[in-house]
Amino acid sequence: MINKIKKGDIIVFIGVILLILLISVITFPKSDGDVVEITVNEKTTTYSLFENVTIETNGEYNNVVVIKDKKVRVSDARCPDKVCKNTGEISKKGQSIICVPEKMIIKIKGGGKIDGIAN
Amino acid sequence: MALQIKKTKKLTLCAVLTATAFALSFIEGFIPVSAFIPLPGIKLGLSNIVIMFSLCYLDGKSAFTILLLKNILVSFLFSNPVSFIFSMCGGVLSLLVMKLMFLKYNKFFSLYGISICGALFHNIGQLIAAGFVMKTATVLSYSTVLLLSAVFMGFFTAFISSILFPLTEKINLR
Repeated sequence: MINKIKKGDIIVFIGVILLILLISVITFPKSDGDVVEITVNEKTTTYSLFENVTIETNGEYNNVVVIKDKKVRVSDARCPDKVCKNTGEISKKGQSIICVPEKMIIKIKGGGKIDGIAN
Repeated sequence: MALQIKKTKKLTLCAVLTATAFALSFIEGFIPVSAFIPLPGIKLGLSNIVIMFSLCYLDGKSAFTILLLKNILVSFLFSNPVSFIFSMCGGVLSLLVMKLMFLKYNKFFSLYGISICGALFHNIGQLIAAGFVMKTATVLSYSTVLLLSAVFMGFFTAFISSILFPLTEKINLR
């Protein structure tokens, strides 16, 4: 009796799958970005995605962010959960790496001329 | 006299359930989920089995107490007070949703639907908390990963629960 799947379960399941599809369609990374915005403790610094640099975030845990070959990644995370490091590399417009303990947000933006006006 | 025995029994059961939830949270840390699913920030949520059990056989108040005690123990022993706020945001939202769904238990929902929704709202609660801490909506970009993992983990915990719960009915727990 307890194992039997009910009508409500199927509605929940289909609803969630539809919601996931919808969100992934909306947030799907389309084009390459070219500006990297790194925000630590609400202070934002902008870098170009085309330069090769290593940045220390200087927050509570001082994570290391590497921009190399048009890709951004957190190479060294001293924060407790290491979610930011495990996110891996990002390179597309709209993608982001977030570290909650460090209060760090890395975001890739389009930054091209048209986007610059639109923003 | 009979009432007193019943009360003592309930108190003992709550204590045992809290200990079980705590132990499951602890054991969970040793299971390398990220080895099978290479995505950041994913947990099994085994202690949700205990919360569902207490919602199913006890009441909302006991379930909340167990959740609160478990989160206090886990946060202050193994991590930091900030993670306590995160766990509570997810836990309370998930508890409220599951409590509402248990009203229609066995009629409209089975353990599977309730467990998936519980996991889902646990992750949504944590996303909202993260959004407040970071003061940005960028955290929403993680929602697909978290929602998808909630479906799998919710299904997994429901599967375990659907085996375990009928077994406990044979023991005179209440």
